[in-house]
Amino acid sequence: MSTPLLSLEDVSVRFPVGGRRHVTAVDGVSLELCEGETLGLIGESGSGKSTVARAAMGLVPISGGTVRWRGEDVSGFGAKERRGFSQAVQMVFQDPHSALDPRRTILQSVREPLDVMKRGERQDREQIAVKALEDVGLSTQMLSRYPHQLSGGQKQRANIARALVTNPQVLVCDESVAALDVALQAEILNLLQDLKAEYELTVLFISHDLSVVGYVADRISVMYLGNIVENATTESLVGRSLHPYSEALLSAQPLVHDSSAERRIVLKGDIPSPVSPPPGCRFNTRCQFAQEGCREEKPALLPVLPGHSSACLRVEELYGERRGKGAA
Amino acid sequence: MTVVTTRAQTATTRRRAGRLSVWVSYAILAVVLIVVVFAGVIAPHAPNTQDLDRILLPMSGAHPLGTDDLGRDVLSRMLHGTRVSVLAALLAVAIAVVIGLPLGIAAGWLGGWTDAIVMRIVDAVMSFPAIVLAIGITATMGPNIITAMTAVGIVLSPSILRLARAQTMAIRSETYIEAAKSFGARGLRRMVVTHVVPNIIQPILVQIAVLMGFALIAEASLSFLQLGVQPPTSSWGAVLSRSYTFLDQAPMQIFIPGLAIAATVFAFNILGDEIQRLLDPKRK
Repeated sequence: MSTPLLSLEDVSVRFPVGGRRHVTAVDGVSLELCEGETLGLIGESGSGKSTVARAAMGLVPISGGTVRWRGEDVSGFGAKERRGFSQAVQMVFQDPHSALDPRRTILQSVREPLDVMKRGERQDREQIAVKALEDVGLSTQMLSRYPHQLSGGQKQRANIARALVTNPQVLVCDESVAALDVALQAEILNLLQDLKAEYELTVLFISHDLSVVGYVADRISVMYLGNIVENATTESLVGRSLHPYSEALLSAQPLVHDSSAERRIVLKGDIPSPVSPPPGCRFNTRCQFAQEGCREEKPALLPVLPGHSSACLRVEELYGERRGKGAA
Repeated sequence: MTVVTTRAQTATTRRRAGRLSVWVSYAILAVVLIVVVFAGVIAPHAPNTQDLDRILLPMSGAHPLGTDDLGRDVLSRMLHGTRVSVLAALLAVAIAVVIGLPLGIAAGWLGGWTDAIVMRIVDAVMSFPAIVLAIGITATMGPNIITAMTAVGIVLSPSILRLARAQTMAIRSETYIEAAKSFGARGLRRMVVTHVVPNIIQPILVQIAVLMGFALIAEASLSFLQLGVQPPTSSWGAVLSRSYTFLDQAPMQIFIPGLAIAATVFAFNILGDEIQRLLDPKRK
């Protein structure tokens, strides 16, 4: 396995919610993003996946754990290293419209990262921005337009171009296609695949849509209520999920040729509030296999098969695999 | 046969009426501007020359708007007074913007203690009725148009401040601000000048236009109470005050400054609406 470019070790993020109470949006999450791969992070709304991305980018302060860039703790970075880090890790946001300043032209917005980093001459920056816009398939007549004059797909292309001008190594895509219609989603996903090859990118792809993540990701981490519950290669996860929550997610995926109705596992109720998470396994309130023990002991994320970890106490009974077996 | 007016027709009519009031407002403001610049050239007489043989004359060829109680030409006094009134209003609005805009942006952008302290001061200022505070300040500092309009400016500043604060707070949570932070943008120039100011300026300009009207009325009120412009200097408020005293001898004269104030305030208000329409980024 190659060295991790960006890694999160036991990262927690807590937000104050008035008084002395806190929401633990992300609770002890560890992730490793290896050079050249696409890691998919999936979970339903409120599972903390966007907060993980923001913590990795340094956009929200972390209350525990460490974020490492090429093995070095990001919190210890000086101004110069910090700049190098923000140049190397770029983000594409969910809503293509609000991510662009309505009073700036597309060219101004796309050029902005270079302006902030004061790279080279203005002329050169402009050329880099124009090249990035060409790479994402926006014609030069779009340069002087304002965001409201572009379609959703064009805006998301501009956002991607802005993330590319600094020539980053890591691209964090936070629900980057969720606001687009299905045909456009496919277009943007293919564009991201092409750009990944062209710019030699490593991608952290966050989505709630398993079909989208399954299409782009090499590995997938499944999040539930601030925890990672399963971690595996895409093939292994889709082919043989080892966690009841992932199973439920997989069963919700509509199939074209097969009737998905009978194998569908419908989760009851909403995701519990992270202000007062349930004791024991976070998923026990909605899990069809939950037992007494699940309400007491919180399962750790342990390897079950090689490269496949699951955080379920009953993994052996349910899936016939022993916890800890895959540990090298 | 009944005439059916469709909604589209009503909307068109309304839009035409809207356009007309805009053109009328532009015309009024253009006249005001010309008078401010060329008052000395246009005026038929010197504004302060007295002629006690010809007091309180009605409108005539020699004195198109008549003469006041000291025999001064009312038209000339109105023209010169326009300059004083408009500059006084501009002074008050400028002070309001200079105080309100940076403090409002700072409070909205920084939040926390800065916001708490600024807003408590604003609450204190706002708890005084505007004119009363201005009267209080001029009463202690001595009646003088500069002091009076500075006081008005201070009193008007919370309206700019609160607007700038609210707009900044709304912008602060926009994704494009987060995006800018994600590639390392920070600092006053990068964040506030590039992203915040252009996005909040539209409602601020509207507010400035509205405040111009308000400041004109404030000048007239203070001068009417003889706390603003001091004799023999002329202003709309001063002319109004003088004509009020002799209302029974020359009843027409009070309408002249009154109409000038009303028309100009109206024009500034329409201008405010028009700025809003013109600066909408969706129109570009």
